[in-house]
Amino acid sequence: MKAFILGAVLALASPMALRVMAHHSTNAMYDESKTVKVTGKILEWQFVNPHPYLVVEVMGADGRMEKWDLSFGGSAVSHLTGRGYAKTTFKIGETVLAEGAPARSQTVKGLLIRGNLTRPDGSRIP
Amino acid sequence: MVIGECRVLISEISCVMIRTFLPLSLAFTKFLLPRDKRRGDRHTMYGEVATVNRNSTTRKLILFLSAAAIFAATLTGFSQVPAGAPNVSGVWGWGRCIPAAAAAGGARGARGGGGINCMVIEPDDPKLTDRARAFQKAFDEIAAPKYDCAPMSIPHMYTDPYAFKIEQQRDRVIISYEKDDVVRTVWMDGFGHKKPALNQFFVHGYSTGRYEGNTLVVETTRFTFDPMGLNSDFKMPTSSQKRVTERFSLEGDALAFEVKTEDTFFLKEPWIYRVRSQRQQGELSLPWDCNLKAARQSLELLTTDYPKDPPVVRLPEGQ
Repeated sequence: MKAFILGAVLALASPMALRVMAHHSTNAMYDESKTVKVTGKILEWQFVNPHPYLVVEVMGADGRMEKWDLSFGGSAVSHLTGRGYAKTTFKIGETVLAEGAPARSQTVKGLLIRGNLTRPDGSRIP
Repeated sequence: MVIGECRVLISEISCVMIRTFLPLSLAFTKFLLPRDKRRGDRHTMYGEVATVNRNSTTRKLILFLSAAAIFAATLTGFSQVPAGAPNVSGVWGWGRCIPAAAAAGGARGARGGGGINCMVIEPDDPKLTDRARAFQKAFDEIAAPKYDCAPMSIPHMYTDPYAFKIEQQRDRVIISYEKDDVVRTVWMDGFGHKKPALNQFFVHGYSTGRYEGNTLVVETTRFTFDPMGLNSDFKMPTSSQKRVTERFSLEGDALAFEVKTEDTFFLKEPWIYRVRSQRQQGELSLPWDCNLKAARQSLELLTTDYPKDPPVVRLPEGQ
């Protein structure tokens, strides 16, 4: 059973699946060979179609605050609802930890979220 | 329920019964019965005439005919599907590919499969014409209409992971999609539906339908040029010459369907995929209600292929 679940996850995470499921070419926007972790305070949570997203405020390496767009890729509201997300999942100002592929852009900070988001106490979201 | 048009999903027989007996019953009550006997349907503030003819033979006949009409409708499952045609009405989930071998030998009885590769047409697919390859190179991703909440059309619509709903009516079939709030009307042959004018083209085309044995066949033409007609990721367009043929049939309780796309501008040969969808409980998750800011959010991460051109100014919401 575990092997089946792992297989299903891998199948869904394959580049082919991503290309079909997300009608945006994520590879053009994110460097999926890298993984970045950020901790930030939520400025915005848009639980809307076509793709819900979070905006968080993260302290940069130089101590200045940066805005990061956290993307759930090609997922729509119905997909995230199936994974337990809702309009009320996040509160403005709360701190979250995210891990994902960084945006290729040199001017905009962004992250394609992989796996679950967590709160500072380690609890998973949602 | 609108009796005159039988808008509830009812069969021909029950539709005829309801159309015939109910109005007859009402007319009989209104015009043929003596006025004093009609008073039985009325209530006064004193209540003294309300029970005049409650047990009369005429009243029993009216009640019997009305009940028969409703019973017939119930028996036929409130379906408006012609006898012998498949009842493919319902909400269906995102499909999975039917293995090619099974499809070639007939989709019925096919097992396994479950992939999604058949729904992907790769940028280097040998079916693509030189025009299609040239378009991929020339088209600037940031000009894609999806960033303005423009809806996806067929055949691409079925390749995205969303449910859809089929509603068969007597003279038309309505296909609604969870994504993009898209609703298509398929005009069934034989009802004298008005054809589009020569200069009328549509994002979702003009669809006509017919039943061929146990299959609902839908043919769609008169599409507008669509820069994401075949695939929005890989900049694969379709032209006004696109013809899409969908063939829906039942495989047990699953929906098996084939989508064949012809467009000689961009395809050297037809692109065909066959998928199987499972019935979903409940309704579609609607409305989609595309949010323009969210649709354009990805643009912040993209750069133009034509940096020497003036910057693109997108229309604000509502324009």
